[in-house]
Amino acid sequence: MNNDAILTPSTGWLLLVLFSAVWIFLGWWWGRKAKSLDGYMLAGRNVGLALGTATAMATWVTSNTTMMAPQLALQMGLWGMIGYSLGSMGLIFFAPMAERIRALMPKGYTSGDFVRLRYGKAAWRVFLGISIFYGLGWLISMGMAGGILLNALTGIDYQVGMTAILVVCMVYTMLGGLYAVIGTDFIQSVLILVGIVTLAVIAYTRIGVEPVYQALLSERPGLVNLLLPAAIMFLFNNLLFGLGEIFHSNVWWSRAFAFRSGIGMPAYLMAGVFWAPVPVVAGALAFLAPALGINVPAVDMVGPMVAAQLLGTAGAVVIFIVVFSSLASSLDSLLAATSDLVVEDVYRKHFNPSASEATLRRVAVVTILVLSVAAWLLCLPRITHLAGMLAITGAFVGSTIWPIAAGLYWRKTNAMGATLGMVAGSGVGLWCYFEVGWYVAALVGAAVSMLCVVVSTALRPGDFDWQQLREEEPA
Amino acid sequence: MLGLSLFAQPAVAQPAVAQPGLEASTSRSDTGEYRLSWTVDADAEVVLEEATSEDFSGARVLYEGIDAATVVSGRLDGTYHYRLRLKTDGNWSAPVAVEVVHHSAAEAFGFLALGGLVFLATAVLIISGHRAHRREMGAT
Repeated sequence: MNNDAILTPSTGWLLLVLFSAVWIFLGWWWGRKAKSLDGYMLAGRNVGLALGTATAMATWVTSNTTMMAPQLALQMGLWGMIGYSLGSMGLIFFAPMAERIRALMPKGYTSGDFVRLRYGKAAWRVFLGISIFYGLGWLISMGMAGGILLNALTGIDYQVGMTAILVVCMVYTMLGGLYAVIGTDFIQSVLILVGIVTLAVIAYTRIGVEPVYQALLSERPGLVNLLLPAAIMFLFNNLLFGLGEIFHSNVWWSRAFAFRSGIGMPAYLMAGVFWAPVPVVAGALAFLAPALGINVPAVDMVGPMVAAQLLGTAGAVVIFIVVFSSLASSLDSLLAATSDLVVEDVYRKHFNPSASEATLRRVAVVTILVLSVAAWLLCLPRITHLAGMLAITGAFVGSTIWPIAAGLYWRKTNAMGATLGMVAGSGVGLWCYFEVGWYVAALVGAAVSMLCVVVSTALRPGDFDWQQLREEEPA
Repeated sequence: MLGLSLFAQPAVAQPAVAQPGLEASTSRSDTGEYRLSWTVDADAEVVLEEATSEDFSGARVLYEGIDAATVVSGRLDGTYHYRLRLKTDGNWSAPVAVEVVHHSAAEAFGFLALGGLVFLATAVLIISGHRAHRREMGAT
């Protein structure tokens, strides 16, 4: 598939083994602190500001950011890159919500806990379906990104690279739980920021802005057209997709529970501010492709290919480290948080309410293994490109924005409106995904869901008692 | 067969070499982005041409090399025609056409306005909710 690999397969394997060894060692090292279930799942509920900011930022800089931002720049032009950057609003909007979550549910474990206690079992089950589907979609997109990265830079077969990266992340997440995830996230966020800024500065210093613009104008004129219709439609879609991802996903709720009291709001605000420039910098790399005369065989390979082509072996190594770090920092978080959701909301609440702490921890490890294997199987055929893979979940996550946000702040919001919002928003959003385009699915899902929640709240106002969210700790 | 004979070009070199197969990911794009891929022997060098006219007058070379695909993006409204040949052979593939028809401005700005509305409403919900939360916390 890729005949332009800069690194040899043996260099690729060397880098992979080196970084894998570091992550696995750190996973084991930090994992030793996790003596209790609270420790394993929520890092002892005592994470401070520096680690809190770093883990939120590093988790949100996924392999999708470093690889999909260039992809979207190549597909949608300037608005694609800027639209992706608006995903930072998810972190910024979640900052005050994290404070409220910590205050209302000091002993909470998962986002599923909130939906169950706030809206009852029907809404909870719909929410779990959406959340687990999204978690799997995100896992698949990251497994795919790992395979594509190794293939683009080293020529290693997609299936082999994808398998290796999934296995590494699975092993260190199983070893260390959230302690390991947050600790490695800190190192990974530093590597990502330094690496991506270095690449962009060197790239634009070497080529210059004017030749890049002229090449775009003659080779791909739509990319510098600020009125490109699909890009205009995509702009708010991505912002709302980001809001939906963060508002509903247990990845972010588990951090809200894990941060020390008073830390959630500043940590998420700072993470949003630090994150916003990353997709702009990563996306700008794609604009260099025409100026450099690079052929792009698959749209999601453009970022690594440009970096490698422009900066040779050193650039390929830097982009490898950046993407592998961003991929690992998100894959581990997602595995840990989805496993928490399955253990707490599916296993304990549905099947074994009296399970001991040791049993729950064993189930968490098995769940991480099962999720990894499921993601691996679904990654194998590489059915679509990265943006397409993730966007299909957009309709679903967009539909959770209003049920979650209104449920946190409005007493009057009722279960019927929340459930209907998630079901109708997902359905109509999915229909638009196929009938209009992948770039409007989250937007439509969010709009339909908002309408359901607002209308049902106005017509049949409830009167929820916030004390009902203060549930006893699990066994 | 009729279609093939209509598009066939006079052989200019080595007629024994098989015609390369060229495919587009779609025949109609509303984003100006699509992918062209082809099947040739591994490491065979190809020449891919793009033209806005069916007879390929004024065609330009879009790609030359050994890759098996290319992503086209940033195309404005219009019909784009493609053909491919091996560098060592003059036989062009059957041409492939992709029509680019972007969404209308009304559709684009309609979705932009809807997105803006949902965003603003969500911002108002969270900001007013946060103020109320701070008041509640101050009261307790």
